[in-house]
Amino acid sequence: MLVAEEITVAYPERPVLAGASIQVGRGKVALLGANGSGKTTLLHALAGALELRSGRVLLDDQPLQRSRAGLRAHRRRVQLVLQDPDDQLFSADVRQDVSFGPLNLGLSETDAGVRVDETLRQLGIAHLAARPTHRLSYGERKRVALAGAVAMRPDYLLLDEPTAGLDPEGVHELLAALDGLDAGILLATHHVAFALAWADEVAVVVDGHVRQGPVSLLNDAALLTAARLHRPWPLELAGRLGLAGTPRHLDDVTALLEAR
Amino acid sequence: MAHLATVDDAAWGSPWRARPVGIRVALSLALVLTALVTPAWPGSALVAAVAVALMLGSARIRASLVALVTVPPVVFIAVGVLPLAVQVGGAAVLSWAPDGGARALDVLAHGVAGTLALLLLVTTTTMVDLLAWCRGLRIPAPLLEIAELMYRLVFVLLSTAVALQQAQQARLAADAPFTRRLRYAADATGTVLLRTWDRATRLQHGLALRGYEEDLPTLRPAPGAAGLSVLRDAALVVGIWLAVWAVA
Repeated sequence: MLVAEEITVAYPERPVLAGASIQVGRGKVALLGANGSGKTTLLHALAGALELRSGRVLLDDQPLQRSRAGLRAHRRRVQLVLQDPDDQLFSADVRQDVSFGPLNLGLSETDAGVRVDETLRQLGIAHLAARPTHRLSYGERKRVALAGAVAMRPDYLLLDEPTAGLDPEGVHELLAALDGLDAGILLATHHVAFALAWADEVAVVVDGHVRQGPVSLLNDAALLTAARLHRPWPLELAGRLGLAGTPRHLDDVTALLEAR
Repeated sequence: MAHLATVDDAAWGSPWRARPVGIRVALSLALVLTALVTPAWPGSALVAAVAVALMLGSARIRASLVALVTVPPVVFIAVGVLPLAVQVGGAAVLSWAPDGGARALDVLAHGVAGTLALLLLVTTTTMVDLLAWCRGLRIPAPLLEIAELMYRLVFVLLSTAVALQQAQQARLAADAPFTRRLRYAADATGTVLLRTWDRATRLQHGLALRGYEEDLPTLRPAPGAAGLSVLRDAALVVGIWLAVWAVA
């Protein structure tokens, strides 16, 4: 379990997180919040990339040590994929770039090559292996950045707005790739309908705190208003039709209607 | 700057990518040395002809690209050799020097041939292949990693510069008076320089998240097969030297 416990982070110009807590298990958690609410800051804190003013991050009940060895051990198990893929891709071609993590894990070049090829296949981007990084589209670069993290076989994957800038087909392919991963996933987004459809749990960042719970939490109008989010359309539709429950997709709404 | 991406694309797509980098470097260096050491006629002329023929032939580089990448250095060399052709003083303040034209043409021929020989390597070799080859020569890893990061950042900044320019054009920058256009260009340059710093910082942070501590290990590309190309390259260079010897 990856846990943030009562963490406080403040930038010089403003406080961001004020005693925020979150737990990420082996399932899929969507981290919701408006722009500037602190989603990215929370992900960075969980990844060990930020000094905390107070609170702590725990991985399987062990506090994160901010020593070099401690951070190395943490990053072997927790990987953060940033929103802008150009912040993480550095190598001239895709295969080389994805091999960076596995080689840092101490794998031999042969084993790292096998790992890279497996990962690229798993994410459906094997055809990009020999392509120069600077010639990839934005969506392709996002998937390559994800592959760089997945190739390290982390236990927890933190994704900052992975669907931003992707077309619907790109989002669909990304989700299909994520579904095949054996890792706990915390995915930051401000698309509530997407979070409702995809996640096992949601966590809403509001006023520096986090409210975490089942997806039915997205029925809480007061919480969504405070977080400057809109109610997801399946819940809005169900509410207007007077349907009980938490439908996630159009099919769920139809099923509820037919059952009535 | 945009030419850089075009040259790089050509190198990625060239059939010569399958050849070992060492062979390509050796051929290019041998041609450069031949261009510099042998007389302009026929040595430099033959080097230039061989380099162009190889680029347009088996390397399958587009003629327009060869022209595009050749013109700037040739203009640079031509401007550089002009002082050889003139002298200060005499009847006029500036006049043609005796034998100055011949000397200028001689240097121009050497320079152009050497440049074309080097462009043969540039247009057929990607940075990723070149860096991997350099690694094999035991060049210190930090130097190569800096080169690799700069290569990556150049393309990121190139796209930033293009986007900025397009955004300015979209807002009718081309219709502005000349002085204002200059100011726009200066502003854009300043922005790109600031973005350089920002991008580099963000990349460093992103790499730290991926486990970067001291070095940037990556898989090396598979080395190409030399085949008979070594013999052919050697025959080309020897052929040029034989022609020079025959003419002499």
